[in-house]
Amino acid sequence: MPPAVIFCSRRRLYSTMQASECAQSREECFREITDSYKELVAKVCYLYSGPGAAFDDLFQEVLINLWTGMDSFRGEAKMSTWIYRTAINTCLTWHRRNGRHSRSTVPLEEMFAEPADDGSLAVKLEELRILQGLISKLLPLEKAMITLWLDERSYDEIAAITGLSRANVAVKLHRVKDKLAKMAKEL
Amino acid sequence: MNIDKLKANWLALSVQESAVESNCKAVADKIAAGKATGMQRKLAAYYKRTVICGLMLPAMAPFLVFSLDLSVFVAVLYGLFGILMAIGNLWLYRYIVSCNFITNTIAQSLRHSLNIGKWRARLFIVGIVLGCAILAVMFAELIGKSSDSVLAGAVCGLVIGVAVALVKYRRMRKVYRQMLAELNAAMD
Repeated sequence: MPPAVIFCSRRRLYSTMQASECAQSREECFREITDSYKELVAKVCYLYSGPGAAFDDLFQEVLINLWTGMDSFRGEAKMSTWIYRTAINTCLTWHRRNGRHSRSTVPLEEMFAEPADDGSLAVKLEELRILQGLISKLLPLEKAMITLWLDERSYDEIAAITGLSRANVAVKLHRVKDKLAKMAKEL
Repeated sequence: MNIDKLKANWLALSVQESAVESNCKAVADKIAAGKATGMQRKLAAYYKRTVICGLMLPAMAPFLVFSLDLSVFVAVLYGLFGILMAIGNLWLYRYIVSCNFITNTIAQSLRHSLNIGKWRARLFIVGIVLGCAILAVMFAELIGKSSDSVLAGAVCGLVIGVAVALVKYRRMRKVYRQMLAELNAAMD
């Protein structure tokens, strides 16, 4: 359960339970944020990782941007919205041609836990690879929308993150899902 | 394969805390110690260096006249080329620094990212074409009329180089234009 976000004066972000803890340092706040939302960041980075964009590199880049942008968070939106926006923006705009960095130190099998339901992890990971492959074929904005849809974000939240209108999100998301379904059928 | 099933699978899977814990801690330590630099800053730093390099060319132009015995015309061209590239790179540096990939929406960030790519490609092709043209003039003056075969070889090399760069540029431009058009269409 992520901690409650309390926005304090002087445009400082403090992700703490109580306002009295606002004296904590920027570094401590950052560690709390990363600790609470590391799974969310990891899942987004996983979806966008692939050849030429290793999971580790994306993960590091997202955390750097979260650190850089901590002061820009004004508490107007939900913390998760801000983190999603930063993570997806980073992953979509991250470019590196250097192939030396294309390997991740976290194998997929070790990254995800055994599912709570009766399905086997191996099968689920295989389906995850298929999903990742399908998403990689989408256009950048479509990728962002589908990522947010996968995590069951509301249309309003998707609109706030992507910069599209709510109505536009509904229409575009419907089209992207159709496109994805078509691609999935062809497999 | 059903996409709703893929979604359900995605939601059912949770990231093992232990798998990202150490990675997260290591990165957080690095960031807190100021040892981690983001790609945006790295890219900006690269263009800052190219501005300095560009400004060094006019400073070095007199050496072309005094040491290599080239004409003042070539030295002026050389200096102007440096200034032009420095201005272009400075513009791109300022643009990269001004982009905020944290508070911007995804559509805005994508637009900025594509603009950066487009301008990088433009600067690349302008640099190659002008640089090659100046090199050709320099070669022509250096070798003079004494060795036509060397001069012909140099000119051929430059022409091929420029042609390859132009082909590469046209491909990059096509990709960026297409992506911007798609983004604009999505925003309509």
